[in-house]
Amino acid sequence: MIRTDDAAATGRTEGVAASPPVTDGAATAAALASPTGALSAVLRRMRVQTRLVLPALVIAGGTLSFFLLPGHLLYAGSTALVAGIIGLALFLPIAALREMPLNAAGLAGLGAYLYANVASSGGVGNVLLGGLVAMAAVTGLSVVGGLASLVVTGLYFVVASLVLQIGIEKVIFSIPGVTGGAAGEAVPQPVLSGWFDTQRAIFLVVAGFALVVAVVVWAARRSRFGYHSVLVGHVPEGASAVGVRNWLVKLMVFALSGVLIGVAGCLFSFINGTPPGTQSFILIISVLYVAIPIASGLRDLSSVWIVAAAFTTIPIVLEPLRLSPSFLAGMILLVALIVGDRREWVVEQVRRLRNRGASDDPIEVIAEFHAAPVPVAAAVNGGATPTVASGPSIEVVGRRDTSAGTVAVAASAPAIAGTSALEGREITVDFGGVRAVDAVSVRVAPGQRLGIVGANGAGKTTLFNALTGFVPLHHGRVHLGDRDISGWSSFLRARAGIRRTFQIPRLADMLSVEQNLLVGHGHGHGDAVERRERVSTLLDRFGLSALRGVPVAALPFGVRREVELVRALTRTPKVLMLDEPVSGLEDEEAEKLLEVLLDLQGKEGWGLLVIEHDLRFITQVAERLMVMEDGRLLVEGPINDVMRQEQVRRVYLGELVTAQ
Amino acid sequence: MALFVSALIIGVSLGTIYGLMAFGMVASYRISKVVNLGQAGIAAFGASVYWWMSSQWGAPLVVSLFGGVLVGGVLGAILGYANLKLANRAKGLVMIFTLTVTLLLFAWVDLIIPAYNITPPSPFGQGGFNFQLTFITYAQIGTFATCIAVVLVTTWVMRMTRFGMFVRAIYDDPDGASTVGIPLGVYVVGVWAVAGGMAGLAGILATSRVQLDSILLLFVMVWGLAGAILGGLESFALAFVGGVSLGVAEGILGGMLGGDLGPGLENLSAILIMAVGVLYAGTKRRHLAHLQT
Repeated sequence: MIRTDDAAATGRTEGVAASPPVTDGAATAAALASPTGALSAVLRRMRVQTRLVLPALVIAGGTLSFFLLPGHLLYAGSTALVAGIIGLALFLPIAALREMPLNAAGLAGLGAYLYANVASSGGVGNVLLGGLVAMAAVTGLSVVGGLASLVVTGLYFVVASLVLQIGIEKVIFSIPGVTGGAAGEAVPQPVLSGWFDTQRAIFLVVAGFALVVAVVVWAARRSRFGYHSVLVGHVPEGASAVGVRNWLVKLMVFALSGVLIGVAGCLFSFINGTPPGTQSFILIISVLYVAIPIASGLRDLSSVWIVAAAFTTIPIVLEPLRLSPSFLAGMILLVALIVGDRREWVVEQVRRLRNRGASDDPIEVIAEFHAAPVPVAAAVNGGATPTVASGPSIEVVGRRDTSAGTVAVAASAPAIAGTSALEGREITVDFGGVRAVDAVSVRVAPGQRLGIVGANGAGKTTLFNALTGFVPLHHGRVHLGDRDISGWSSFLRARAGIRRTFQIPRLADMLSVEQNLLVGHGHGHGDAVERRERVSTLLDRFGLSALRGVPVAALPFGVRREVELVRALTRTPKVLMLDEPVSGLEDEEAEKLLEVLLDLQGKEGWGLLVIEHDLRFITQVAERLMVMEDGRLLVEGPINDVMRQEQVRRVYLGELVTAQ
Repeated sequence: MALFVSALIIGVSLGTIYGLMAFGMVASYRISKVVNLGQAGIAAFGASVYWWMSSQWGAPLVVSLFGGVLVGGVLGAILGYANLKLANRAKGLVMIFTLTVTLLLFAWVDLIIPAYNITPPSPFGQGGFNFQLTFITYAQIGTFATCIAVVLVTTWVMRMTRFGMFVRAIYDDPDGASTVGIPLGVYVVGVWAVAGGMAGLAGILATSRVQLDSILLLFVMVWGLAGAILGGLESFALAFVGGVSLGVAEGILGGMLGGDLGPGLENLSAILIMAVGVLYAGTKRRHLAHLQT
């Protein structure tokens, strides 16, 4: 935590960055100049190391198991690794898409039986073919299950997946040709003796697969696909608004999950030498598999392996006690629930211990950000010799980069946007018997700024939703330039350059600010360097650079709103549509936002459509104004003309003016 | 024709059990927004108490029946109380907790009943009668009549009594109900107790037809849940009808085609109906939510 007595060393005055942003190296050198700073630097380095503790523990545990454990316990270890693979397979849909499939056991069983059927003929070719057949079938069924997530979500999806599980269990498993009958099919295993015996060889093979799966899932989580899946699962409208194909991302997640479960199924047969009985793949087992990622806290992948190991080895260790399988399953589930429920508390304690004396904790950064005095003049004067508002005398320095107004748009920023105008003609939207928007026409040309005002329920947001494809049109057309985009889905419109924000920001809470912005850049546009440059430039412009690594969940409402606005700009839009952009912002923050927004719009030339109740803001941002009432367009024209109209003043603006 | 009538009767009788289970699940869901998967465990425990009282104690069947239902009610009340204590947790987490309770109750049942398969005596006797070449058992008639009677009485209580009025008030707006002085906790526990009693009764009726098997009761619960989902988890009538429909589908299609399609495929029809129903109900509700926004 940087206090006022450190401020001189860091070259900052209280609350305001009086000089250009300090580079990392310079900051480190400055920080080391004081004992507190040195401690912070050490802890910062330690943080990187502590992140590696869990993975290191898992790898060390696996390695020690391989060398030290006897054969029968190595069997437990192999089973734990397979359960971990299933846990990771479920981690993706549960953590990212927030859908809980209850069919993993059935799918794994299907994989186990299909693999055994083909591989039992012997030979490397058949083993490989068996694996491919099993993975293809399981992936196909998993995608079929995923199709349900396109239609229903939440509890309905849980039950739909449960139906698939019962279907596999009751129908497919009742076919002797699939399961191999009572005896089952024999699967080839290595036959070895001595220290490196069969069990050790099997463990090594399974560990190899587990390692590959771990790397794949780790990479998937950190890829744009991973970010997109989080966005799709947490804020589907937000994903569409930035051009992500929600259905495709969902199906890809279920396909990847299916591949991993297919691998696990094959390994089940490989470990046992024959596929386990159908009792190993029933509904209750599916629930236990789901409990693995849930108990791991849905954060880091290493925890999944630890929980899977506990789940698998506890019943094997307790086997001599001849406990009821239901009792064991129930107790494991109970422990998983307690651990999963309390994990946040444990993580918080560990984080506090780790960050004692350091100021990098995201929550603290936000607290500091808010404790900071507001640099009023920094925005007004473009950063030149800002006036410092009075703030806490000994508290923390604001972490937000307050030099926002001074940073120029990067040279690589796109030039003037395309010349396409967004035009809605006779837009009509019905909700059941209620007409929310009634034959409203609207047009925003490049470089134009149009404001929309109206009382609550006037149909402003519904008009936005109709223009961006979030609600179907009852009547009317939407054009972008000379293209009729009325039938386009919301993500296609976003890709075409219609970018928007929502009244309540639709951001992926699990991702950081920067990750949200990179997601907002959409698919396949520009290279990675260009994307990052654009994001960095925008973060600088809006003064959010210090928050780039902060999880969005930790941000206050007003900042989330700004992040969403920046996200809409990560690809230069043709038209930017803002729904109450300054709601929840302080006046000074709104003024700064206005300045940056107008500056960017002037340079990049996109059209701007703004809904706002703040009359002062709307009069500053808009050139033309639309007034809506009860779903209809009351009047539209140059803002000064509109505001002078008696009807408008009486019906709507009069009340506001009085309130102002 | 005789085969059809026989399959229909089996289906309707089975379906009313699913419907009863669905009825209880809707009741507990509406008052606390938690899917009560503890119903299966309660059903198993109620059935085992019934078997123990009737076969080991030698108690009359009617007394044993009330004993099983009462124990189900008590377990439901305990689960409802636990649900109250977990009110600030995620609903999905509480749902998994109720499943945990089912598993632990299954384990307890495993301790109570002997290792060999047992079938508790039917509370309605073993006999039956012929109706146009179809043999109809008293158990089938009794099961149907009991389930219908319970549903009708519960509906009457919900519509005509002060208790029912308060429960409906809580269903619609818990906060609003508490602001007018309705003790939420008491009613939540009460409704869960009623749901538990229904599960106990469903368990007794189901196991006395086949055998006392916890996995079987898990499937009865799943079918009941599907019925409840078909009703959108909101409507008692639709949930009951949904459960009965699934039973009829299973009875008719399974009974008439099962032998031709091969082992296991008799479940296919009910599974397909369940899948279509879930997708339809989920889509319909999504549209409703869309309208509300």
